[in-house]
Amino acid sequence: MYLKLENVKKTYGDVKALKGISYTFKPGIYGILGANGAGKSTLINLITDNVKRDKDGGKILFCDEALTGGTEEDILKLGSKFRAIVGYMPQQQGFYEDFSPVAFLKYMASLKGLKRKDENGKTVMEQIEELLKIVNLESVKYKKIGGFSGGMRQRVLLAQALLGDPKILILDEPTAGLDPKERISIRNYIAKLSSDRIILYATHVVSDIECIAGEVVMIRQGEMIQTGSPVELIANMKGKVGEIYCTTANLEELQNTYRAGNVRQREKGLALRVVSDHLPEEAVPVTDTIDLEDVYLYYFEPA
Amino acid sequence: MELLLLIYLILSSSVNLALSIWMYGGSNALAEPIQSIQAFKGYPYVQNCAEYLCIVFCGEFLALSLCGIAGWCLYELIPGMNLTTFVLFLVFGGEWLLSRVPLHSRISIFRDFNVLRLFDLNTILGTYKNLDVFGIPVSGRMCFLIVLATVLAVVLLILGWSYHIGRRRQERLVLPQLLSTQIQKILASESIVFKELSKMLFSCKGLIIITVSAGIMAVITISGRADYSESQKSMDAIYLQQGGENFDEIRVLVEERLNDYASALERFDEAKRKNQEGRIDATEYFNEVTTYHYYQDAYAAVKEMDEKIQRIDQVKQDKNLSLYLMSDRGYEMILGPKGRSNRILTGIIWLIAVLLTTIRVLSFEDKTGMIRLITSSAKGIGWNIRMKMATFTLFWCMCFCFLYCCRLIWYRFVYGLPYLNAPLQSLAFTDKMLAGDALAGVPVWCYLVMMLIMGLLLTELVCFIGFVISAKLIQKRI
Repeated sequence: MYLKLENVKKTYGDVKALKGISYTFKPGIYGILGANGAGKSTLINLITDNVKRDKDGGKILFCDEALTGGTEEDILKLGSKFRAIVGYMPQQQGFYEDFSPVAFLKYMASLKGLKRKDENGKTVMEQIEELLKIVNLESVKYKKIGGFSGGMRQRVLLAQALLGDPKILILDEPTAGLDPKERISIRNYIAKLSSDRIILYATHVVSDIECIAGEVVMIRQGEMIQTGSPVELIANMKGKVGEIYCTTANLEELQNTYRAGNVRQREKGLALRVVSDHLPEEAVPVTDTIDLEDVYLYYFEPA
Repeated sequence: MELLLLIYLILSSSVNLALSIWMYGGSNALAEPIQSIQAFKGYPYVQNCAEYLCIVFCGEFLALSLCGIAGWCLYELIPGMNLTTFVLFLVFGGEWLLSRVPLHSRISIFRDFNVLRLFDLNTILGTYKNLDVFGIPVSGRMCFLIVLATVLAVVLLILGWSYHIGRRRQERLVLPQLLSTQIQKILASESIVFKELSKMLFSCKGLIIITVSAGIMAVITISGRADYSESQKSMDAIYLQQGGENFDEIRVLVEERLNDYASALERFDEAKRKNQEGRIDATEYFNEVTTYHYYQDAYAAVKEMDEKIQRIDQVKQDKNLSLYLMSDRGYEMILGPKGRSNRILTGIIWLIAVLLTTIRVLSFEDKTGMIRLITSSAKGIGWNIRMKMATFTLFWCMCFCFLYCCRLIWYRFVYGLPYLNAPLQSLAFTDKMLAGDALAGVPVWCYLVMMLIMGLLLTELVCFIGFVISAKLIQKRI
């Protein structure tokens, strides 16, 4: 099973949101990393058919033994058959505030065209009950969503995305608004799902991807600028990450001069993380604590 | 809330009083005893007009406060603003109907014990009335006050209990929570059609729009009621008893009166001639004149019937269609030109409500962001819209039929709706309405059904237009 993007483009008026992206997604977790406005949501909207493809907007092809008989088919041609195997968690927390989680999930089950019983013989209600347990909303299943916190709403959205056991899971900022504990819990759950699924995890929160993504796809201004596993990407940053010791007096000047990241407290004082192809003389090279945040800074922060 | 109410009452009362004094003069009248006003001659207390106005002011303040607190209590008990508004409309609608109960009805007590009476303080204070409570005469005013005090006590108890429990448990009253949970269970177990209706009525405030529109339509219909004189009502009673398909008795009566009138006219003309020639004495002449006027009035009383009979005979001759002898009154308001503006206005209000609600449904999906989930689902946005259209088509049909039937029931109550089997052309005003002879022989009930079907078709058309407009708007945005 794979999902292939062939020179996918999208233009909104004069703005080129996607400038020709080509990539193949196989089963596993893919972190789609990019700043706000990079084109992540546009790419997701094209895959989920929320946005019309341009005339010369490329192709999005899907291949699966069960669905396409092993041949590549355009997802537009597959239509509802493709959408039936996609679980989508949008960024916006759109809801029917007067519905409870159970009512909402039943509604989504109808929209997804779920059969009365799935392959394992579970009824729709049983699937819903199980999902609500997983996302820890069982105690409030009959309370109106309108009274939920942001984190609870995210969990309802995740539950509906998982409804129907989809083969492709598309999560757009799934941990937005969640506290650290909830973030970890959802990340861990998603990590368990990835063995036979394609999971696209779009976010600009680097720490989310670092833990669970097998591959990272970085998008900047509509273009795919880099791909690779977190390990590979971090390995590429050797010699490009350093720390400059400074005081609060000269911190701002340094931040304006270099591609700067976090400020850390060290025994010697404040250490400003800098990323560059050619590190300044005063920077102490970092080798063992390079992370995806440094990768993000390198590719997304202006020099 | 109380402060705002007080300020409003002070302002409105002051302006009212100032204008009244300016327009009608006589601020000196404020010092006169209240009993000097005819309507208050039975008022039992020694007070001047100014003191009485102060009492009315206090009474209005208390009445409005009670209504406000009761509404607040209702909101605490019933989950959701939509449902509370709907219930409030039902309560006030019910109270209004009860206030119109006839005097001799068994439930006439509800004319007095009525929320709307709270706003008619002058009548409450100005009239003295005893009620028969198990054979014991009790002051009506006292009963009213006792009932008010009881209602106020219950409402305050409920509110107090609600907030006391709320503070302890940091949640609202238990009853609304239980109700809400049960509603959600029902909502979850029902089909997607039920869920779509629930969204339309509650999430999109459709219930409020429909309730308010129905309320306005009811007010327009009821206030547009025609009032007929006693003689017209007597005539209608004759039509009902002796008219219809076989109206021989009326025909005989009319002919008799016409003949009497004709012969009285002849004799009057003869008497006039003789009077001019001096061949008749004054008494005899006076008798002839009186007799003539008597028969003239007798004929005038049945002239309408005569004209109708002539018309019926003409139609029978021309079209071989047997019409009924019946009153046009009533039907001219229901079907005819006199009620046209009423029908058009209520129709426009209804269609606006349908259009508004329908547009809100799809735009609601867009506003909440659910449009993305719907579009990306297996069934897709197309299926969802078709399903919504089918659901709302059925819903609006049922709603319109219900409102139409309510309207007919009201007409039945007010005007009677007699002779529903009569050919439509039995009603004289239809001569200008009918498309040639096409509908002449159609029974009245059939025409009412045709109006219902036309209304349904128009409703569905507007619903469809609403969907098209909102779908286009969303498509443009995407």
